[in-house]
Amino acid sequence: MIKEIAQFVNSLDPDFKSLGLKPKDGLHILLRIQSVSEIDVLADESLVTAVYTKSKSLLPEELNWLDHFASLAQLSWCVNTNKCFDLPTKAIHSCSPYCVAMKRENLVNGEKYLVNAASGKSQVYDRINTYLSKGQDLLENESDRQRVEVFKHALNNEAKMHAWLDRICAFSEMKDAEYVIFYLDEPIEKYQAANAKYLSDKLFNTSDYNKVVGEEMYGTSDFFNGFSSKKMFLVHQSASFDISGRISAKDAKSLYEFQDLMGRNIFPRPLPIFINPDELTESLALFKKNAEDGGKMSYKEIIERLYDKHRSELGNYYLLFHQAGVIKDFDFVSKFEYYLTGENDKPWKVDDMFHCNYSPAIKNVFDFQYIILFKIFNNALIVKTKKGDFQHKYFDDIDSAYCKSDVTYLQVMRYRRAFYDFVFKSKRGSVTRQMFDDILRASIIEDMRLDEFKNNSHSQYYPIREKLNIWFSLSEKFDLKYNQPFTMASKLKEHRAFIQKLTKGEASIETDDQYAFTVGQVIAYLMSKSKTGDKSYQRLEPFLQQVRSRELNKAIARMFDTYKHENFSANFRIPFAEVLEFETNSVRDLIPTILAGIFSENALFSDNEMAPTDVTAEHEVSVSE
Amino acid sequence: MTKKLVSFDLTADFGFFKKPDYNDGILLSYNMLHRPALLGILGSIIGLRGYERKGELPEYYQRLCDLPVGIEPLSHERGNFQKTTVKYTNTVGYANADGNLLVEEMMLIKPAYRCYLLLDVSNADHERLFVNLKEGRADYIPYLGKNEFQAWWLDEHGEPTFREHEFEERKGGLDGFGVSTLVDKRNVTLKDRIVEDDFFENYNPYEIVLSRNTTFMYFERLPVGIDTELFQYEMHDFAFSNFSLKSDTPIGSLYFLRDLQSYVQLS
Repeated sequence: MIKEIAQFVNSLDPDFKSLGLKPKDGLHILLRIQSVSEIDVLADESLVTAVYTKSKSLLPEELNWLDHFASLAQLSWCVNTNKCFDLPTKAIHSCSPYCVAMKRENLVNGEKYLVNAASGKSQVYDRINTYLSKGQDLLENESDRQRVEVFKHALNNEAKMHAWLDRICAFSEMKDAEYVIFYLDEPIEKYQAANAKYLSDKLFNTSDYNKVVGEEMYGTSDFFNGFSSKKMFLVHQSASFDISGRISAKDAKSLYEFQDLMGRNIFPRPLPIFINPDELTESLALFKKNAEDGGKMSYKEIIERLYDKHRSELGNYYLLFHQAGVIKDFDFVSKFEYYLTGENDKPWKVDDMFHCNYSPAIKNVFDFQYIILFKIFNNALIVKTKKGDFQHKYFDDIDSAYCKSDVTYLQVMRYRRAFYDFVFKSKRGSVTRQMFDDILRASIIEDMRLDEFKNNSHSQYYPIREKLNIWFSLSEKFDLKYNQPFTMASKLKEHRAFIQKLTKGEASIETDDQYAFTVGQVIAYLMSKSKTGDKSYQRLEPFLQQVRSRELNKAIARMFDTYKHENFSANFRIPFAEVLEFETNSVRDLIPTILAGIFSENALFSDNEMAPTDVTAEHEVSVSE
Repeated sequence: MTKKLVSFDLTADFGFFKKPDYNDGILLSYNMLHRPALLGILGSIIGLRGYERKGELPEYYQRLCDLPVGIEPLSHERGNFQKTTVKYTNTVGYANADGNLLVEEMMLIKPAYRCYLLLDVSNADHERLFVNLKEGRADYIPYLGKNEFQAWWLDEHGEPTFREHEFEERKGGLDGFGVSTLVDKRNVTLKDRIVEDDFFENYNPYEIVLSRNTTFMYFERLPVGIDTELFQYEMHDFAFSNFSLKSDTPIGSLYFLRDLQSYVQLS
C-alpha cells in the first residue's frame, strides 16, 4: 500500500498539493526586515500586515494574505508535536527559522501561562531563543542565519513580543485555542529549503533504525505505524527481523504529504487510485476541478464520468477508504462493472408483484445502492438526510437507537462490508443469495412485528410489500451458481394460478411450495374473519415461528375454531382441508412462499365477499378480491 | 532426468498474509499467497525449522530459497478473493502494559492457490518434498498466514491434488498461450485480444461461477524473498490475467505445460 500511495502522491502537481489549504485559526502577523544604515532591523514599520482569521469583516487584500499564510504555515509546521523544537513543553508548534507559532493560551493571561506562572515553570517567551537557534541549524548560509538573528531579537521576551501584539486590536479578542503566528517575510523558496531539511530526518517514526543504502536513507515508516513495546502482541515474536520494514525517505515524504492531503478533505471517499496513467490524469483533473470549485465530487460522479469514456475498460485501480484520518479499507479493483444486467443484457428491475406501485429499474450499482440498499436496510446503511442527499454508513459507527429496530442494526453491521465490496469493487461474489434472503426474510418479519393498525391502516403496509417485490424480483441475481429455469417470480405466478385451480377442486397440493402458498392464503383469509380492533400483522407472528407443518396446521385449526361461527366461502373449503392434510418437515424454508401467500391477492374469498380494506395513511389503496 | 515440475492445490477456510506496511488501524492482507509464505509452507511439509533467533534467516528459507515456484489463484473473482474483517480485543494484563489491545484484521475468505514447483530430485530436500506432496503428508501442519487457518492440499474426496506435469522451457515466441500463474510485471505487455474467462474449467472447489465472462488484469505488489541488507521483504510487482501475452514479450522463467496447454512462470 505504501508504494501505491507514494506513487499516487508523486503524480500530483504542486498546484494540486496546495488545494484546500487553509490557514490555522488565529492571528497571522508578517514582519519584514528593514535595512537602516546597512543594518538589518525589525522596527515599527516592519509590521507588514496582521490578519485575524475570525474577523467578521475581512478585506479582499486580507483574504489574499490568508492564502499566503496558509502556504507558509504548511512549510513551517511540525510533523507532530513529539518532533517539534520546543520539547518537552511542546508549546511552539512551528519548526522553521522563519516562523514562530503558539496558541494564545501560552501568552500573557492565557490558561497555560497562568498555570506555568503558578507552578514556576518557564514561559514560552523564555524559549524563543532556543527555538530559533534550532531553526537556524536548518539554514545553509551565514547571511540567512543573521537575518533570523534579527527575527529572534524582535520576539525573544515578553515585552518585545507584546510590543507587536499590542499594536493589533484583534489580539484582545482572541480565544485561548487560537494560534498567534509570526512570520518573517522571506521568499517562499527559503521556507521550502528549511522545511526540506527539517523533514529529512523527521519523517521516519524513529531514527533508531535509519540506514543508508546506496545514496538513499531508509527508515521506519511513520504512516499509521507505531512501535509500542507495551503491547506484546504488536511486537513480532517469531520473525528474524526486529522491525517489519523500512521505507525510503522519498516515500516517507510522499506519505506525509498524503496524510496532509487526506486531512484537507479534497479527495472523494472512497478514493480510486488508478494505475493507468490516462485514467489517473483524468481522475486527478476531476478531483482538482472539484476542489477548486469548492464542491466535493463523490466517487459515484467520478466513476460515472470515467465510465462514460472508458466503458468496459474501466478498472485497475486501488480503492482507498479513509475516514477521520484513518484507513478503513484498501483493495485492488481489476475491473469496474457499472451496469447491473441480467439475461439478454436487460437491466435489473423490481416487478410490482404485490401491487403497491413500486417497480424501480435498477440499471447500475449506484441505483442498487440508493434504491435497494436504502430500502432493505431501512435507511440505516444508506441514510437519506433531511436535505435529500445521502450518507453512507459502510464504515461508520452506527447507533442502534437510530435504526428502525435491533434487527436492522444487526443486519447492517453483519452485511455492510459485503455490499461495499459489491457496489464499489464489483465483487459480485461478495453478496450471496443466502445473505440476500436472510436480510429480506428478517426485515419483512420484523416489519410485521412492528406493524400497527390505526385509523384503518397498516403502518407497515408499503414497507412489507416493497420488500417482497425486491425479494421476489432480485433474489436469483445473487445466486452465482443458479442455473435453474424457475425463479421466485415465476413460481409466484404458478402458485397464483394453482390456488385458483385448487379452490375449484381442479388441483391438489402436491409440493411443499404449493402447501406453503396455500397456508398463507388460508391464514390471511381466517384473519379477515377477526372482529378484533387490532388487525396488525403482528398477529401473523405465531404462525411464522412454527418449525413443523404439524404444529402449523394445529395453529391454523385453532384459529378456525375461534371463528367457526363465521360464514366461510366455498373457495375456502378445499384449500383449508388440503392444508390440514399435508405434512412436511421444512416449514422454516417455506417462509418466503408463506409470506407470498399471505400478501398476495386472496383467492379464497367468494365473489360476494369482500376482503378487509387494507389501506395506509399515505396511500389509499384498497385490496380486494 | 532429475527435474520434475509438479503442482498441488492449497486451500483453507480463511487466510491472512499480513502486509507489513503499517500496524495502526485495520491490518491488511496480501490477496495472493506469496513466495516467502509458500516457502514456509513447504518447509513445514518436510519438517524444516522456522524462526530460531533474531538476525538469522530460518532454516526453511536458507534451504529452499532457490526453489523456483509459481502461484496461480483458484476460485477467485478477477484475481480477488472475498475478504472480511475481524476485530480482536485482547484484555489480558500480561500482554498489554498500557490498556487493551484492539486489533482489526482483514482476512481472505476461502483462499485457494495452485502452487507449481520445479523440483530437482537430486536434492534431498526436493526429493522429500516430492514424496510428501505426492502422499499428502506433512511433518508440521501448514497454514495460510496464521496457525488457525490450516491449509489442505487434498481435494473434496481426500485425495492429494498433487500432479506431475510434462513440461518444456520456453523457446522463442509464446504462440498466443496464456500464463496460468502470477507473472512478474516487469516487461509484461498484453496481447490486444479478448479471451473468455476460464472459471468453469478451472479447478473450483467452492463452485463460484461468474454470471458474465470478462477479461481482467490483476496487479499486486508481493514479497519475493528477503532483502538481506535491510532484512525485510524484497518486493516485486506481479500481474495475473486471463489475457494472452504478446509473443515477443521478453518475459523470463516460463515453462510450457503440455497437459494444460499453458505457460507457468517459475522463479
